[in-house]
Amino acid sequence: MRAARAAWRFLRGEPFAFVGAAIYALIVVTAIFADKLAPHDPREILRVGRRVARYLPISPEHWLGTTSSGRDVLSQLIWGTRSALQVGLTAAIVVVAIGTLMGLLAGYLGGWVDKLITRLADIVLSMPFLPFMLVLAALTQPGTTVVVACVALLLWPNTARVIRSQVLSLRERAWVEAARVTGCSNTRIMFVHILPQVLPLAALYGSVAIGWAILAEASASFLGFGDPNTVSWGVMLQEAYANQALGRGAWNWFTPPGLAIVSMVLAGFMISRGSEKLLFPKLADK
Amino acid sequence: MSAVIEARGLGKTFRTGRRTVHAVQDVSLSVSAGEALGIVGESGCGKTTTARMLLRLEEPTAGQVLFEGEDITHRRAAALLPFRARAQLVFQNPFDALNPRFTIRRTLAEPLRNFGIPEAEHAARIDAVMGRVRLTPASAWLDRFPHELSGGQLQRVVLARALIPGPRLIVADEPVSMLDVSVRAGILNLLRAARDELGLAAIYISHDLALIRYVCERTVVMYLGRIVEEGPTAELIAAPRHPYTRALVAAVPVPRVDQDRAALPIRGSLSDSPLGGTGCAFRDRCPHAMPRCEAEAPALREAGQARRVACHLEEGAPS
Amino acid sequence: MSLLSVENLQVHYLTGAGPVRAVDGATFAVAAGSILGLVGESGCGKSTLGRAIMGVLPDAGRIAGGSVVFEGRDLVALTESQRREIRWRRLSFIPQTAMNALDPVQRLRAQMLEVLMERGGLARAAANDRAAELFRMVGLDPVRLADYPHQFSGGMRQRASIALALALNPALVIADEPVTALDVIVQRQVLDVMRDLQSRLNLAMILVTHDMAVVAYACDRVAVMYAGIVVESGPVREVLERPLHPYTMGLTHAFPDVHGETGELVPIEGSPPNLLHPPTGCRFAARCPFAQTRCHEQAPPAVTEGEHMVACWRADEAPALRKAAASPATWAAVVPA
Ligand SMILES: Nc1ncnc2c1ncn2[C@@H]1O[C@H](COP(=O)(O)OP(=O)(O)OP(=O)(O)O)[C@@H](O)[C@H]1O
Ligand SMILES: Nc1ncnc2c1ncn2[C@@H]1O[C@H](COP(=O)(O)OP(=O)(O)O)[C@@H](O)[C@H]1O
Ligand code: SF4
Ligand code: SF4
Ligand SMILES: [Mg+2]
Ligand SMILES: [Mg+2]
Repeated sequence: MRAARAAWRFLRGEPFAFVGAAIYALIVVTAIFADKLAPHDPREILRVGRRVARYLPISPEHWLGTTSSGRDVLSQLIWGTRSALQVGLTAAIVVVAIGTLMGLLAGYLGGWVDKLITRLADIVLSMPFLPFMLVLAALTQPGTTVVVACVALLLWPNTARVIRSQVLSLRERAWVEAARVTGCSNTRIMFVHILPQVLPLAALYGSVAIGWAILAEASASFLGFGDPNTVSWGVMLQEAYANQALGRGAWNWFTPPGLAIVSMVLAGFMISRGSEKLLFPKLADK
Repeated sequence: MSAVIEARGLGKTFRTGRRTVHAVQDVSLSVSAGEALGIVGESGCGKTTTARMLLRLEEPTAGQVLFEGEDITHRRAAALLPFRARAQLVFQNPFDALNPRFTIRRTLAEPLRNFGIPEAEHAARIDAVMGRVRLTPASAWLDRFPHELSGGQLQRVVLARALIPGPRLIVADEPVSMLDVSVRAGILNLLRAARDELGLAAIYISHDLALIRYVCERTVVMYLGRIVEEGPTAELIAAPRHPYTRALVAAVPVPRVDQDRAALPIRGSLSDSPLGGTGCAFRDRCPHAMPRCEAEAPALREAGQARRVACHLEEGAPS
Repeated sequence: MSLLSVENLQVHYLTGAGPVRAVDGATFAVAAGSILGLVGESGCGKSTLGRAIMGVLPDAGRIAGGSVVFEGRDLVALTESQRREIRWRRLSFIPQTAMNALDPVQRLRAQMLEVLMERGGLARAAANDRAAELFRMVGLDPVRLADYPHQFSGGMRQRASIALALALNPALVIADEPVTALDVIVQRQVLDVMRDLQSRLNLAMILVTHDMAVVAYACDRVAVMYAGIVVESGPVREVLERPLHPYTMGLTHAFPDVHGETGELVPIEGSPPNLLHPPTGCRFAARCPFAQTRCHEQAPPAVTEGEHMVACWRADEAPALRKAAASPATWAAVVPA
């Protein structure tokens, strides 16, 4: 309850974070009620009389028109939130888990563990995202699992870095020393005493990972490595592209998923930008 | 009486980058059960480092630490658990000494759990220790978080956490310097009572001789990492022998209008002191420095009943 | 006539939960060339009072009433530009952490010259000479003007911020806890610098502290604050030897004296009231061993006898209360909520 009130006070003071959180909230609500909100089945091929209702423009009937195969764009967009959240959240959880663990170990244990993890993080950060994902997708089975794995494998260093620096300063706090004096093992100090303190920060980095994962999924789908049977924003874009929606000026088809992806990625960044002030007040003062 | 804790020629050298700091050199002391030893000296003279070595929070680079006769100088962390249960620390800053996300109950249960005390005994022991630090009724406090307590109340919890495993030694590093004057007395009284009633060996660290006098029978004075004088606290204050101790005693403010306001018998500040070389480390600030002080460091010698002083002036002085 | 006289000053901080009455009726005076000690536990409004006199309250702070008459003018009524004329030139301020007074990224010479040339209108050569003179005055080697603050020890920083505060020859300096973080030898040296300046320059000073011993050593008069109110004030000897307010009596028994008795110390149990909703009646009542029904109902008025001011209903019984206050049992009987 206290946390909720603190979060609310913080959001009120930080317009960036507020907008970001509002976008996420909208998407979550949409995903939950997708079946009620969507006017049509996203995969249903609609007809006008006996003809397939292709390329219908915006109308009261179809708020965002239809696709080349006669499917309702709005319904696809709405159902797309589910896959976006699914990919985003799984990726975020994995990123946060790996990143936090690595940061915790490096920051608390120091010494060679720190050197090793920092080195590994540097190597991973230097790897180009898209080629890595394409190679991985080509070697295994295309689909969301690959996307999630890629995001997790390549994005943990960002989280690990901030967690590490946070742990470095927490380690110096007197209550950590107190834990040692009262008989805690290193493992206990790390996981019982320090971990709960860094989780909020980790969650923040998770919010950025959500955006990244959605972008990655979209790129993969767009390049044809996605799962064509899912309804996702990436698959929508890919279909639109493959059917030359751009050339036909069917902007009502490709703009909405594009905007949805951009706004979700932006939301993640806005939340993290806004929270920087909270987490690193000195940084924001400069 | 046999010593609970004993240091023999203890030393700690920190190497940071290219700089080498001899934080503590050749410190020997011992404290028996029921006895309280004070360590005084100005900021940076090595008090905290000494205490941390005695508690094995820092590994000494020279000398030995003996706890109840056993050498623990280089004992590995995992093997220190039984020692930890018997040697506890009271922290300087109560606002930072408690995990902000633990309730008071959890903070007190943590040592019990770690030292393997059966869960069935926890509640009774927590209640007893809360009574000892006068946070009663315990039930009114145990479910609170640290941010809901004032500095004085927090320091009581810190003391309770130190007492709960049933230690034989308690070390308090500036236990009241962060607290308001009005609540300091309460904490000092508790510390004194705990030591008397439980027969603990206690070490208090402070730069304030008035506080040390209130809680310790015996005191060592440190200057730049070394012990320069040791003696019964009352005697040390009434008749300081080392020129540095004299300055320290003269500097303590007293709450009386009629008092000696003569200039201190000392020059400069700690940062002006020579950090190496031969000779007495205090010579640049000492009003009695003589050529010999430049050439030769004075050793810590017996100087009468239970007193030790490290100063060339003492030589030939009647002991 | 007094150099500064503060009359029933009220300072509020506007917060989401309502106004915090950080200073709620402070009355005292400072004579030219004298040092006034302002004591009280943390949060009782010492810093707020100092900042209000100086006119440098944080944004949320407002003077809500009373007057601050300095050299015959009421500072509360002045415009900001009139205040700026007085600030530094006649009245200056050393904030609680000396590091706040000093700019960490500028050498001390640059900081001194800025004050001397821009605010004081001195030419560069004259300003340089003056900077060196000021450093010598506070016992620092002028060579160290070339240093950055982080190259100084705590005591040296404190001296440098005193030098900065003295740059334009003010008549009154407000020093907020200038010696609290220092260890005893350095503390004594800084206090000696202040006493020396007082007698040489006829400087008046308000020295904020929570240590009665510091007051005894360095001050001529003392004002004891409790929960936003000055509860007792007078010459140091009067207040220390014949305290009239139970809180002052408590403070004098609360800490050991290096040469005095080693009998049991007497803590003042409990903590000060929340200044968001201060109690009606005497603010010390919840912790006072001598509180009576009337104390809880009605705030005691300030009474002055000679130079000694006190706000306590039972001040006329002071000699008997003093005797009782010396015993730990008296204070232990109070069990505040
Ligand atoms: N981890 C460390 N690395 C390098 N130098 C250190 C370290 N810890 C302490 N020192 C140095 O050792 C010396 C003694 O420090 P210590 O903390 O023991 O002083 P102290 O007497 O407790 O001072 P204070 O009264 O300010 O607490 C100082 O010069 C300090 O800078
Ligand atoms: N900027 C602020 N906003 C709101 N309340 C404040 C602010 N600064 C101080 N206070 C409150 O005003 C009271 C007096 O504070 P302060 O003047 O700093 O006391 P002292 O210097 O005696 O420790 C306290 O209750 C404190 O919490
Ligand atoms: S040995 Fe010399 S310099 Fe050192 S304290 Fe004694 S007289 Fe002073
Ligand atoms: S007025 Fe009453 S409560 Fe207040 S200090 Fe005096 S005796 Fe105590
Ligand atoms: Mg220390
Ligand atoms: Mg203050």
